[in-house]
Amino acid sequence: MRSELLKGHLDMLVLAALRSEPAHGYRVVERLRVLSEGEFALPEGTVYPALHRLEREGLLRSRRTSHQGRTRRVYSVTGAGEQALVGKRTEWERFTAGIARTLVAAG
Amino acid sequence: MSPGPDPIEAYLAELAQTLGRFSRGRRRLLAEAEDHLHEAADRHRETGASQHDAELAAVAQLGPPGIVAAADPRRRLVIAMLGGAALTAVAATAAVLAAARSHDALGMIGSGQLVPPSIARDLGPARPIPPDARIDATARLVTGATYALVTYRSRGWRCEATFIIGPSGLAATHGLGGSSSCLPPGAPFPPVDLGVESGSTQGVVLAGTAPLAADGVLVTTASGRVRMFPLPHIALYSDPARQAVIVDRSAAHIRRVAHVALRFG
Repeated sequence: MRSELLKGHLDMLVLAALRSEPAHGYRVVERLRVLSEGEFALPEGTVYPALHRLEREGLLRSRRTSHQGRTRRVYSVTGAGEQALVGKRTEWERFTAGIARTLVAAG
Repeated sequence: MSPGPDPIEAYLAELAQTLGRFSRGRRRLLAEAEDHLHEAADRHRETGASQHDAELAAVAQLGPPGIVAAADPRRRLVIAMLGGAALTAVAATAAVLAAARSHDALGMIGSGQLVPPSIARDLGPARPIPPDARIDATARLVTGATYALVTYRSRGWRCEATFIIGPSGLAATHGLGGSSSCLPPGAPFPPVDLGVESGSTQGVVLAGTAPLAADGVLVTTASGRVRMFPLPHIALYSDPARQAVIVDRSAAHIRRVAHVALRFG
């Protein structure tokens, strides 16, 4: 999928990628790649503004860990994040359904 | 041939410089980027890549430092004040200008806005365009009447915004991230050209195909370093001598490079 289209929905995708279990940034990117079957190809650094933004909004929390001598920050979805994901998913489904209806009606 | 400098080290130095000494999230972002790069390089080494090549690939995948640095709250605040908050106000102008530039698309652009709540939140509160703002460039629909690009200036700052135009009007926006939204007074402003129309004043578009179909551009610089410039931040031209020119909007300067490889998604 084109990067431009993907950007507006990155928050929802990051929340979805973290829903099953906590992960650090690289793992989030990996999950997005696997879950989308390679469809999403944003520069990997794009995930960090999203992670930090979501944490500031209380939708994610993070804790610092150590891995092989390196500092690692692991993110997890908060209760508010779970609720937000449900809302974003509903919003997305309505939005895409509306687009699809319009395109079909326009022929 | 010399393998060149340590790519991860060089990248982190550039990221540190991009963030500035007084960035609130500097230490955390640098640590996260370092961990990310080393893990990515580890994966590449597992496939047989040399240490240097593995690091180059990891750096290219992470993208320009400006993308990571956009996570810094202070930088985001500046972006919001100078660029993002104005996008809502500019949106209607973008749609009108875009329609004027593409007769085929007139029927597709309505007056109503269809902005999902999350997008509206990203845009921030609507503000009027400053009285001295002047739309000084173009809005252009490209790739199937989907995108519009507007540049404008206000109080010496030059800004640009890109919009996705849906069947019912403004559907979504992008280009909010990164520091390319606005440039300060006096900064050289790169020519704006999404590269779809050939024969522009900037020259003929490279490769003869729509560069917007690509994810980004992998660039090997004279020092042997590989960097990837994602498309929201770059434009591609070739000058009359057909030398490749990459305009890196995030850095507000023009790079001439010896080798350009398009990576198509």
